[in-house]
Amino acid sequence: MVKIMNLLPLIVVYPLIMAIIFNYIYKSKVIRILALLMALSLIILPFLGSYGTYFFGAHGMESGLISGIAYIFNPAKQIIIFTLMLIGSLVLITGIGEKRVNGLFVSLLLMGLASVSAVVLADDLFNIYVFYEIVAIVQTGLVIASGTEKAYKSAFRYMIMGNMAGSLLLLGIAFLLSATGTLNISDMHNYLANNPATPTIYGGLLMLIIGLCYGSGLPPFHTVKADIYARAKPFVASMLQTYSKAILVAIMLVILKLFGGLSYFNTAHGALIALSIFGMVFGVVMALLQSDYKKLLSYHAISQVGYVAAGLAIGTPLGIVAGIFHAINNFIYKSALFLGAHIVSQKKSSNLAKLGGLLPIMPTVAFMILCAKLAISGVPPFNGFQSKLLLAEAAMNVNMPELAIIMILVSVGTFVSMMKAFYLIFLKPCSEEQIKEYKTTKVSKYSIFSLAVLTILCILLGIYPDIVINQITPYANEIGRIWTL
Amino acid sequence: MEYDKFQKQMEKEKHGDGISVGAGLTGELTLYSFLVMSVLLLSRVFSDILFAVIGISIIGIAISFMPMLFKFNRENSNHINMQLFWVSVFVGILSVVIYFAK
Repeated sequence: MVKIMNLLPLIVVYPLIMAIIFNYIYKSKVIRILALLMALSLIILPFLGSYGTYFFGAHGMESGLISGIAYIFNPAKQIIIFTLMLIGSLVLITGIGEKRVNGLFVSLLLMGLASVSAVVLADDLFNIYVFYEIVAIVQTGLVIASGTEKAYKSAFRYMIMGNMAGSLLLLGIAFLLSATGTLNISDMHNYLANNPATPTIYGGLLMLIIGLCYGSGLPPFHTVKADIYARAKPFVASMLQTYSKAILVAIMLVILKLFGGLSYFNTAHGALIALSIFGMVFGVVMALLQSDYKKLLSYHAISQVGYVAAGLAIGTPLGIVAGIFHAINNFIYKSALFLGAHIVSQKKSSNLAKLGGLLPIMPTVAFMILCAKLAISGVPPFNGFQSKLLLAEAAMNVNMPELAIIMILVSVGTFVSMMKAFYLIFLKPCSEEQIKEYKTTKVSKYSIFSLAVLTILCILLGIYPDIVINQITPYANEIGRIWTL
Repeated sequence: MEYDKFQKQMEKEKHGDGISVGAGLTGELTLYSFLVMSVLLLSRVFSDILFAVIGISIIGIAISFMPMLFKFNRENSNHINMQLFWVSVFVGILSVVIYFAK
C-alpha cells in the first residue's frame, strides 16, 4: 500500500526558504517574474497537507505526553490559511506593479506569511512565541520599507512596545511551563483541567492576554498598531492588518483551548469581552475623527479587530464561528479598502481634504470601493453583513443584548465614516485643473485586478456564507462552551 | 453640549466642514452610548444596586463633561509617554481582574 506523504510543513517551510532566496535577488525584472510565480504557488499550499496532527521528527506520543513540536490541521485552519495566502498573493501581484519593487519586500512578506501560518498551525506555545516575534519584526520591516521619516518613527515605537509585550508573553509562557511542565497546548490543557490553579498560572494567563493585545492591536496597543498601518504603503497595510487578525484568531483560540471551561477563567473571560468592546468603540470613534484616508482605515482595522475578538471571547460555538468568519471576511474587505486607498493615493494623495471628484475618472474602482465600504458597514448582501449578524446572534444567545447593541452602534459609526470618506474622495466637486491632473496620473492595473478579486469574494461570501461556515463549525463545536449570563 | 461650540472646536482641530462635524458628532454619541451600555451590562453582571447607582452617577457626570471626544482624542495620541502610561494602566487593571478570580 502506498502511503501518501503529509506535506503540511511546506505551508511554513516553502515561503521561509523562498524568503531567504528573494533576499539575495536585486534585479527587478527577475523579481517580478518570480514574485508572480510565487503568488500563484502560495494559493496551492493550504491544500497540500492532510488533516490531523503532524509530529515533527516523527516523535509522536511518549509516556502519554506529546514529544517535540506538533502542528494541528483542520478545515477551519485550512480556510484561514487559504485566505491569508490569497491576500498575500494579491498583495504580491499589486507589488509587481510598483516602480521600485525589491527582493527585500517580497522576502519580508513571505516570511510574514510563513510565520503567521505557523502561529495558526502550532500546538506548541514556544513555537507560537518564536513565530509571533518574527511577525512583529516583519511588520516593522514592512513599515520601514515605505521609506519615510514618519514610518521610521512609527516602526521604532512599535518595536519599543513590542519589546515589552514580547518579553511579557515569553515570561507568561515560562510561568505556564513551570506550572504544568509542558509546552504542548493539548497536554497543558489536560494538566490545567485536572489540577488546582496557582498564582503562576494566573500570571501566565495575564501575560498571554497582554501578548494577544499587542499582536492583534487590541487596546492598549491600538494607537501604536493603527500608526504602523497608516505609515506603511496602503497595499502593504492590507497585509499588515491581515497578519494581526490571524494572530488574534490563533492566540485567542489557544487561550480558549487552554483555559475554556475552568472556573477561574470567568473573570479573564469578562476582561477579554471588555477589551474587545474597547477595541470596537475606540477604533470607530478615532476613525470618525480622521481626515487622512489611510489613518481612517487604520482605525477601522482596530475596530474590526474588536468585533473578531468579541465573537471569540464569547466562547460559545456560535461565537467562535462568528469570530473566525468575521476575521476571514475582514481579511477580504479590509484588504480591498486598503488596496482602494492605494489606488486613490496613486491618483493624488490620501489627505481627504485634497481629494474629490474621482467618480467620473474611475467609476469601476469607485464601485468596487463602495462594495468594500458597504461590506465593512454590515450592509446586505455583502459578507460583512453575514458575519455581523452571526456576532449579534451569538451575543444575544449568551443573554448579552448590550453587547449586540454596542456592535450595531459601532456599525452605524463605521457606515458614517465610510460614507464620509466616499463623499470626500469621489463625490465632492473639484476644479477642472484637478480633473486634468487625475487624467494624467496612471493607476497600476495589478492593483485594480487585486481589488476586483476581493470585491467578487465580498459578494460571493455574502450570498453563500456556508462555504466558510461549514468548514469552521466542527472546530468551533470542539473548542466552544455553551453558557449564558 | 451646544452644536455651535462643538463645530468651533472641530474647526480648531481642522475638521470644520459639515460632513466631518457630523462624523464627529456620531463619534461623540457612540462614546456616550458605549458608556451607558457598559454601565447597564456591568450592573446586570454584578446585580448590585449600589453599583447601578454609581453607574448612573458616572453617566450624569459624563453628560456634564460632553463633548468627551476631544479629550478622548488627546488620550489616544501617538506619543510614546501616553502609550506607555495607558499600557501600564491596562496591565494593572487586567492583573487585578485576573487575580480577583482567586
